[in-house]
Amino acid sequence: MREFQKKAEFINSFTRFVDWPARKFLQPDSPFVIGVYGTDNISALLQESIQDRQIKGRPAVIKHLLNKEELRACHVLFISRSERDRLGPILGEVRRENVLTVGECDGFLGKGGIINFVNVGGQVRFQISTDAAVREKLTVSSKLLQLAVPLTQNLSVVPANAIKLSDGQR
Amino acid sequence: MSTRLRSFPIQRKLRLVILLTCTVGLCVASSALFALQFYFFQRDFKRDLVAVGEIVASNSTAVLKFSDDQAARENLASLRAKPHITGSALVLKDGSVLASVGRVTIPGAGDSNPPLGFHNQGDDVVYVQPILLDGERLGTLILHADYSRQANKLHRLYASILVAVLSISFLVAVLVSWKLERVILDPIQNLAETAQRIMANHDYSARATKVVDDEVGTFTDSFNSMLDQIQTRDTALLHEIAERKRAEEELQRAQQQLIDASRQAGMAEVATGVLHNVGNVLNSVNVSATLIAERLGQSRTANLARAAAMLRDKNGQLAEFLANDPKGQLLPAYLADLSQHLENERLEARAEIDLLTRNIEHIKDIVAMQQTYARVSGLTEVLPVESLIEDALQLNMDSFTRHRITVVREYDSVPPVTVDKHKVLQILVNLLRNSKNAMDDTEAKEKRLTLKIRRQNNQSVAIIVTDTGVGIAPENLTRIFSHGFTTRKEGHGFGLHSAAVAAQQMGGRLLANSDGPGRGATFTFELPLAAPLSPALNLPLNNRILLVDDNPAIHEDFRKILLGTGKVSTQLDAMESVLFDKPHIPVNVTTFELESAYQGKEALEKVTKAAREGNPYALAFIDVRMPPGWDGVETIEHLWRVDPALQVVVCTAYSDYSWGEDDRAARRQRQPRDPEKAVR
Repeated sequence: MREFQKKAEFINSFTRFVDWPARKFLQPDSPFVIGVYGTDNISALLQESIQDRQIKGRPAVIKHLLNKEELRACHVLFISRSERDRLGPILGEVRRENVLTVGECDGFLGKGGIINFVNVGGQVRFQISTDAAVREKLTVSSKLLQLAVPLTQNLSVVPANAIKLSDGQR
Repeated sequence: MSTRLRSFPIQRKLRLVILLTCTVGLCVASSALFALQFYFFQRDFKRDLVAVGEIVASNSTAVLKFSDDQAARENLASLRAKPHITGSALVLKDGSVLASVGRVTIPGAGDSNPPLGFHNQGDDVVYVQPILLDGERLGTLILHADYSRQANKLHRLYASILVAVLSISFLVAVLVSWKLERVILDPIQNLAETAQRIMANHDYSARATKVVDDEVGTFTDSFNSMLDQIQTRDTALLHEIAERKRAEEELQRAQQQLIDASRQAGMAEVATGVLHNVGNVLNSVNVSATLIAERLGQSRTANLARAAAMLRDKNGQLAEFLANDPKGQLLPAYLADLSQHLENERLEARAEIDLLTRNIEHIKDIVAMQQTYARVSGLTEVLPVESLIEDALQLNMDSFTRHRITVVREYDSVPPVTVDKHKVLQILVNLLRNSKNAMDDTEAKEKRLTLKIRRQNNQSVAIIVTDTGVGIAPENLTRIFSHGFTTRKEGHGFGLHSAAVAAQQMGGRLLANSDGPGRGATFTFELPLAAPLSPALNLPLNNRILLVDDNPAIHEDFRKILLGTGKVSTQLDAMESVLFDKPHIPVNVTTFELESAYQGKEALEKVTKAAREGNPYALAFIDVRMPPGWDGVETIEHLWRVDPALQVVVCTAYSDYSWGEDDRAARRQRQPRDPEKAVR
């Protein structure tokens, strides 16, 4: 399975185990927005994963965002690895906007992100910052937390390309 | 109930019943509990599986969603806490196994949707739980549980508990019943032992102690009162036997006396001879009577009357009649002849009557001689009446005490009597016994017997026995002394009868009186002061006769027979004394006072009135058929109720009533009637 296909599926799955505050939805029929910022390797895969299903009883919309101003309207924001040097301003833009930020860079959680994909034993896994989730008033299911890689685990030894490599082997 | 069980003592039966009941009850209860437990176990087993399955499924949604096999294994590993779950597996919706623990059968790879819920697989119960997330089926949880081992374990546990509970309960029941059965058994055993003791010793004075107030208590009471009755009867029986023995001895004595008496009387041959003699003489009497009757029938006295009438008619011209009339001329000669003829007639009749009288005297002699022979020479003694009563009382005192009869004595002082002691005692004992029986049969609280001695007149004293017994119905009063009459079940109707006969033999009499059933009775025994040699000699002459007949002609006949002659002859005697200067010698002729009644009721009124006025009739002639009212027997019954002393002659021209055949009449024949005595 391709790394991004897996990540798209994971992102889709995350929405099942995270609850947003009601005020994040302006109208009853407001869509559920998943934004992709940076190099877009994933929106097509997300579309494929979600297909026509609804998320939280709403139609799902996947957007590739280009303007920072649009970021705060998202419910889920995937920040591509391409933006790893600009994470601070980007995350600052959506701070306290109840956005589930998902990243794929080292230090993503340290910079205020909520979920970060990591590679463990050649498999795509993820870490969750519960502090950030609390800050953004997002409720993360314990079932999701159960699957997350603990934050204390040192993952820096694993190079990012190794992930690609193992993915490719599979 | 089997014969063996039936012969068990009550104790064993009771214990058996208690223990059987306990065991059966416990078994039923345990079985019910066991079944319930089993049901609950089964239910809980499934519920538990379902609950576990739901928890694991719910916890495994993310695991499946993210296909995290490690976390899946961890999830399943948590099931180790449930020992009966032997295997588990999480299967993805495409049929691939995400994780499995223990021994678990995974449905074929192509079968992406194994059947949900429970199904059995060998000894295992397999539970298949779908894993859903927001309505999306993510996969399947398969749980294998070792049901039968668990169930067996439980069965063994319950079986041992059941056995333990049963044996402990049984032991406790035995112990408790050991203590409690005494409550029931002790009174019964007490009773049984008493009964056995009584049977062994024949000691009916023993009594069972009443310990409880239940049915056994009631039974004990009944048992005791039964014993009371037996004891009472026993005592009564003993007394009765003693009394019987005494009576037997008395009877033997009486029999001996009777044998002596009959020997004295010269036995039956003498009587036959006497009757033969009397019969012979009676023949002559009959002839004489017939002859006299014929003579008188052909008598020319009537013609004398006609001659006298002829003379009376010619009263004025008697001389002329005697001189001139051919009849008159004939008359003196006729009268002379006639007087001669009548004189002859009278002489003949006279001779005949003399013969008749002589014959009758002869009969009297024969009878007197027979009576002399036959008289039972009972020993008469001069005895005080009190001692006689006391002797009689003594004979009955035992039974009086037993029946709680109070004896009240009211004795007037009277001169001693000359009597046959045995006869008097026979009568008194009979009376006392009769009173006792009458009071036995009554429900009255107070049983009182009053004994009085009263002076009747110069000739007799009366012993009056009054009881508070059942009394005598009016219709029975007249037959109470009849032979064979009794109102008691065991009675034979001889006692009072023999008493009455004995009283009469002694010249006394026995009277009964009662105000009716339930009001007691009074018996009066009149006893002559002097020995009964000539009891009637000094009696004032009572010549009052009542004739009861519906036919007036009969009244006329009676009047002629009883009154007519006496009157005429006196008148004639007076005239003759004037005519013939013959001194008048008055003949002592008995005169009667005859009164008539034409119906029974009328007779009753007259007798009642006469008795009230103290001027009773001595004798009543009573016709049997007197339509439309009472017949003779009925009338006598009524009359005797008013005046028991009234002597009665029953007259009938018909033979349809014979004393022998008509037991109705026989029953009422209270005492021998003797008209001759009555008019004396």
